[in-house]
Amino acid sequence: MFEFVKCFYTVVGALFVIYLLGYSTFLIASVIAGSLDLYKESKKRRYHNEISHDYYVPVSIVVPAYNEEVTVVDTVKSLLMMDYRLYEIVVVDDGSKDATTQVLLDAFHLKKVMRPINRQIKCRKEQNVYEAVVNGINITLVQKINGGKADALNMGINASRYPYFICMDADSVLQKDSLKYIVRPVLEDDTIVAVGGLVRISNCAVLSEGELVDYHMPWNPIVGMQILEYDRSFMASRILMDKFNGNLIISGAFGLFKKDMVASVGGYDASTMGEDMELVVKLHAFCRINKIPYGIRYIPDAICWSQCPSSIGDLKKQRRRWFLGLFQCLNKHRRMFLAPEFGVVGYISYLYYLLYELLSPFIELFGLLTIVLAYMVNLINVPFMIMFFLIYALYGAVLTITAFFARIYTQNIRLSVLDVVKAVYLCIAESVFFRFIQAFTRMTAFFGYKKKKNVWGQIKRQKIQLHQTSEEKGKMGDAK
Amino acid sequence: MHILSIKPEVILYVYMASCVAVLVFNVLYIFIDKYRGRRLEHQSLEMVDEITGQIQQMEAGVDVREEYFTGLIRRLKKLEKLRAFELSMEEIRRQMPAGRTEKYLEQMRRVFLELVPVYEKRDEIEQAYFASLVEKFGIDKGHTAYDGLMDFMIRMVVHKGVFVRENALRALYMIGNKEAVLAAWEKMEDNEICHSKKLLSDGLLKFTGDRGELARLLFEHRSRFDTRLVLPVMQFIRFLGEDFRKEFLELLSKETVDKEIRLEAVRYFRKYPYEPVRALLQRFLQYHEYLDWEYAAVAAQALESYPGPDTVDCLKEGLKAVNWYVRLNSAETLIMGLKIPKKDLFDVYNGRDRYAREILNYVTEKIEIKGQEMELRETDV
Repeated sequence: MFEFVKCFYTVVGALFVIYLLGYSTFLIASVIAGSLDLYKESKKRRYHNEISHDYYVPVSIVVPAYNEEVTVVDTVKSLLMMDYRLYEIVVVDDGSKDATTQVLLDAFHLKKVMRPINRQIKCRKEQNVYEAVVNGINITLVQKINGGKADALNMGINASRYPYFICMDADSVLQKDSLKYIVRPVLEDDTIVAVGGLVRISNCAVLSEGELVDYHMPWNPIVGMQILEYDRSFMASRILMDKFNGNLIISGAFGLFKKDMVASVGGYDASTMGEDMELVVKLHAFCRINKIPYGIRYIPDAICWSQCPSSIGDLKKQRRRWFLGLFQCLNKHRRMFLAPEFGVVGYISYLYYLLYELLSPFIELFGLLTIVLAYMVNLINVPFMIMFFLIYALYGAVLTITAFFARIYTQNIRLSVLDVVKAVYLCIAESVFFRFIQAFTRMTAFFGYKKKKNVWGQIKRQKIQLHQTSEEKGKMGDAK
Repeated sequence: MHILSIKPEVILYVYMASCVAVLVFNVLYIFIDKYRGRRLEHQSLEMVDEITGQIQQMEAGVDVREEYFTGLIRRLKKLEKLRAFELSMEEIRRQMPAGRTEKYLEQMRRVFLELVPVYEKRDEIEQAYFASLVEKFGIDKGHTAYDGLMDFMIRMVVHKGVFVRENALRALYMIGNKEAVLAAWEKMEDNEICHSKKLLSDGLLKFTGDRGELARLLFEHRSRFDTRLVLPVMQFIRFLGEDFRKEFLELLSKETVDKEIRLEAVRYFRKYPYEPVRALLQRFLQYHEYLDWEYAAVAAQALESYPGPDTVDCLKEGLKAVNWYVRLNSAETLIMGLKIPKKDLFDVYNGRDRYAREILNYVTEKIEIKGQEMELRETDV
């Protein structure tokens, strides 16, 4: 019996080593690829390797909103300041219970119109359509029956006029030059069907005229740890996956899509919680099955500032949604798993998300159970285990701080010494504590799954910190 | 007892060391970048004095010494010096009237020619940068004969890097040699290069030579090119003028011609009305149910340049189309383009087709909203 247990532990130990080394290798490859890419991009900018074109790929910005009366007006105001020639704003109020529509009507003097909606994609019915032109920019507000975020986005696509659309959250702010950057890949390559931008956390940033004027690492550790987590994800792994056209996620907070291609795949899937990921995976599948040349790109220069949860409760709600979305998406597209027709998307991207994102909480739980069992039968070296955990945590912290500094030097961000100290401390805290919160949230995500699977994931909203010059205030006054 | 037969912690140590190396690289880069910025500023200030001195000598009728060029070529082989040269020329252009720097830059042609073999071997970022400077300083402008510089630019248009291609094309447009642009087009065709259509068409507008002649030359060779290279030429022609109406009508009339090309021809005839096309455009709208909807939608827009009762009747047909864009474009052309009064659309407003009524009402409301914005702007002024 003892021999069997020993044999079992040898196999389990070997599998865990392979699993951990696989993950560590992916992380180090991501950070190195990310750093090299950011260095290359910085050199490109210095030596005029940019398309300095008078951009006008017309773009519709779709803003789905549900109970967003606190932030939606600021969001639309910030969108009116974009440094871009031709775009429109389409806000979709998905049956809000608060005064989302009313605050927009008051702020921008929208007029009710009898606009017939071009229903290319299935979505729930519109109740009212309002329009206005502010500073030459068309604003459309569609008030519709509640159907969830995906349904609201589908309505926004139907109501949009231009061949490309941007999806964003109603609590987010686009940096002034972000449209210019996000359409660049489309100009560089006609086959691009989607482009993801960099999402940064706005809780600790102050923006003026759509530009960052003040940025500090926050005191709230929940926010601070998410900043570092976003840096590691957006400045490392997405850059690596971009190298082989393998990104499966474009954040719902900021992404550009080719409308006819999205319509061809049926738009956002209203039955999943991770509609943003599902759309990207669907685009990969559609293009690969039909042998359509395509590209899905990620551009770290196109920046969107988004609020993150600042309490454990809100964070758990958000992560639960993300995890269930991931599950639904991977389950729906399970035929991609190691399938030759999907190439690297099936072999690397899908495999990565399956093993290291979806199954990780269960593998970690299994690991914990085997440790307890090994301890009981005296098959574990406790000092070694603690040392290994510490090495792994330190490795995670060093990786995160590397990604953090990669962003600092490439985006010319100035930080105080205190910010750097906070960043280092938070990197360690993130590596030691944050992963347990994540793991716990993921493990418990399926509780109440059926009941809550299609509801908007609301977190507590704060007013966006926008500094406005007197000139801008005047401009906004025109709209009133 | 150790349950693992290999030592994963060693691998983690190696990875951690790699991470620390990247971290050190990042931190060092921050400091080196700051130092490099200061050094670049210093170098470019030195060059400003040097170049200003050369310009003054040239104005005084003294020829530039051979050693100056030899020294400059040697220095500009280094990327940082080339950047310093760019910054110093920018500064001098700010200080002096445009005419004073021209003669000096003409002399720089031989320097750039000597630099071609050097930068041809460099990575794509440096090649693209070299091409951008050729464009920026008008090196080779107006030259008719092919030589090393123009050849290099033509070779670059088939590079896999989009910036290299774009900067090389811009340099060719700036040089203004139509034969060189044709050669670039042929090279892109032969190498199946997919450069953005929009960049190509807008780029052609920057051509400094005779644009009409360039358009004629590229259009005459269209049979040699794929649609992706013909379309930018047609879009370029649309911005130039009406000299191609017969040729475009021929393209539009042939059903075997690529759809994108025929649609581009319809757009051309919107801008430059041509009576023989009227019936053809109307037919696109009348038989929209049997055609690709895009022909009908684009034709509905183009018909704003062909007023008359026949066009109005045809557009009223368009209002009944199944496709939303055909209905919207027909309504916009009727109300905004042809300015047909409401009474003349009485039959539609009171007709049985709800979709036709709705789209007309919507276009009317859109005009009102635009009018309100204009009023607000005027009040503000």
